[in-house]
Amino acid sequence: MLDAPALDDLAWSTAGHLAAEVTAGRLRALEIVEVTLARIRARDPLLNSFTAVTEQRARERARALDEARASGKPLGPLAGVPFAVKNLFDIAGLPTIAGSKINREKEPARRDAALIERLEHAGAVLVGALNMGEYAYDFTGENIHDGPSRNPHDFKRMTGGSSGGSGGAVAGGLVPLALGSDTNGSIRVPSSCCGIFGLKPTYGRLSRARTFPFVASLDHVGPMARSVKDLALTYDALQGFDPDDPASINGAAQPVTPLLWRGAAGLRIAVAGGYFKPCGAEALQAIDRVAVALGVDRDIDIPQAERARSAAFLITASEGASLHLDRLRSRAKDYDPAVRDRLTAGAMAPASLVVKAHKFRRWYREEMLKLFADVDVILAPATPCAAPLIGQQTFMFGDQELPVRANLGIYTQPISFIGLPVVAVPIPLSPLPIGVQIIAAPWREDIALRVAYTLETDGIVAAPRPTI
Amino acid sequence: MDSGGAFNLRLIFRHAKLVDEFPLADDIKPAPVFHA
Repeated sequence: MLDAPALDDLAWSTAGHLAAEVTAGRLRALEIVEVTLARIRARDPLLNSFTAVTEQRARERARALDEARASGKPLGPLAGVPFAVKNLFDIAGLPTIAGSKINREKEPARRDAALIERLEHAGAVLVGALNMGEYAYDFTGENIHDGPSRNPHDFKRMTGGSSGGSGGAVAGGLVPLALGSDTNGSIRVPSSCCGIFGLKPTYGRLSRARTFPFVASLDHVGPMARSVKDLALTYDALQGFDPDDPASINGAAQPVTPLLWRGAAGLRIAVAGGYFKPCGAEALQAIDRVAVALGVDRDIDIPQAERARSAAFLITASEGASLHLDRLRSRAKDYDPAVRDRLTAGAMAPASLVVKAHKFRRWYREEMLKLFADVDVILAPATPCAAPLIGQQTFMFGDQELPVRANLGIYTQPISFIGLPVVAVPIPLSPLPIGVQIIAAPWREDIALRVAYTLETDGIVAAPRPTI
Repeated sequence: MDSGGAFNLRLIFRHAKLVDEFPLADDIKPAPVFHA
C-alpha cells in the first residue's frame, strides 16, 4: 500500500507518467483507480465537480487493463489514466443531463460518446461525469440544480463555464484529464479561471457524436489537462473521422505529440490589438509576460472582432432557442431562470439578421485567413479578469460594468466563431491564475501546441497546484 | 415577458444592430453548415 505522500504524488502525476508506470508494471491500473476514487470522495464535496462517479465501471476497466498487461497485450498510450467528462457526453447506462433538470428524465444512454470510446481504446479509464452550466449556455460554472462547481484555488470563486466541473476536477487534482465542450469559450474560460491547459481544436476536428448539442454550427469538444504533453497525448488519441458527426472532417489524423519538441523557433507571432487589448490588470500582465517570453513585439488588428462577437452572440441565441423551443413551451419552470430568459429572448431574434450573421461569418473567416498569410500565431487574453466570486453578477471592464454570465467569453467568442484552433495556457499569477489564448490557422493545432510547450518548458506557463 | 427576458432581448438587439450595420455584398453566401 502507498503511503500518504505517495498517494498525493499520484494525484498530481501527469497522464503520461501514469501511463508509463502502468505500462512498465510499476503501478497497477486498479491502484490508480482506487486512489482516484478515494480522492474524489475526500475532495469533491469541496469542489462539487462531479455529478456521477462510475466506480464499478472504472474498477472493471482497470482490472481488465491489469489482466491485459499480465498476458502481454499492448495497453495504449493512456494506459490506466483516469479521466472524466462534462455531463453532456453520453455515458452508457446514465441519462445525459447536460446540466439540466429536464434531461434527468431521459432514458439512460445506450452507448458512450465517440470520444469516450476513443480514450478508452487508448487505455484511459472513465471515472465519472462532471458538473456544467445548464445546457452549456453559461460562462460561470454555476448550476442551479447541482450547485456551483468551485474553484480549487479559492472555493468562493467561480470555475468559469460552462465546462466548470472539468476545470475544477483537473485543477483540483481529482483527475489528470477531462473532456469539455466549447461553443463560445466553454473550454477556454474555465481553463483560464482554474489555471489549466485547454485545447479547443479546429471546428470539425474532433467528433461530437453522442453529446448533447447546444449550437450545432459552433459546438466544439476538446481536452483539458495540467500539462501540454498530456493535452497533446489526449488530443492524438481523440482524433479521427467520424461519420456520426456531420461536421467531422474526412481526413487522416495528424498526431502532434511527436512535433512538440520543434518549439516556437521560426514562428511568426503577434499579439492581437484593438478589441483584444486588455482592460484588466491581470489579463494585461498575462499577455505581456507571454509576449516578452516569446520575444514578440508586434501587434496585429483582427478586423471587425467586436462585430464577430456580436454575430456569434446572435447565432448562439437563435440556434440555442431553436433547439429548446418545445421544452421552453412545455417545461419553462424547470429551467434555470437565467438560462430560460436568454433562450426565450433568443427565440425572438430576427431571422433576417441571423442569416446575415452567417453571411458575415464567411466574410470574417476570409479576412482572418488573410492575416494567417502573414503570421502563424496570434496571442490574445482568454478572459477579461481572473475568476470572479460565485454569485457575482457584474465585473468592471474598463469603465463599463458588464454582466458576468454573458461576458466572461468576450475574448473567446470572436475566435471560435470561425472555428480556429486555440490552446488556452495558464499564467500562474498570484493569488489567482489567468489564461492566454494561443490561436493558430485552421487545422494547425500543432503550431499552437508547440508554442504552448515552449512556454511551459521555459517556466512561463504552468498549472499551479492549489494551496488550499 | 418578465424583466430578465426583456433585458436579454435588448441585449440581442444591441448585438443584432452591429451585424445589421455591416455592409455585405449580395453574393456572399451564408454558411449554415460551417467548415473552417
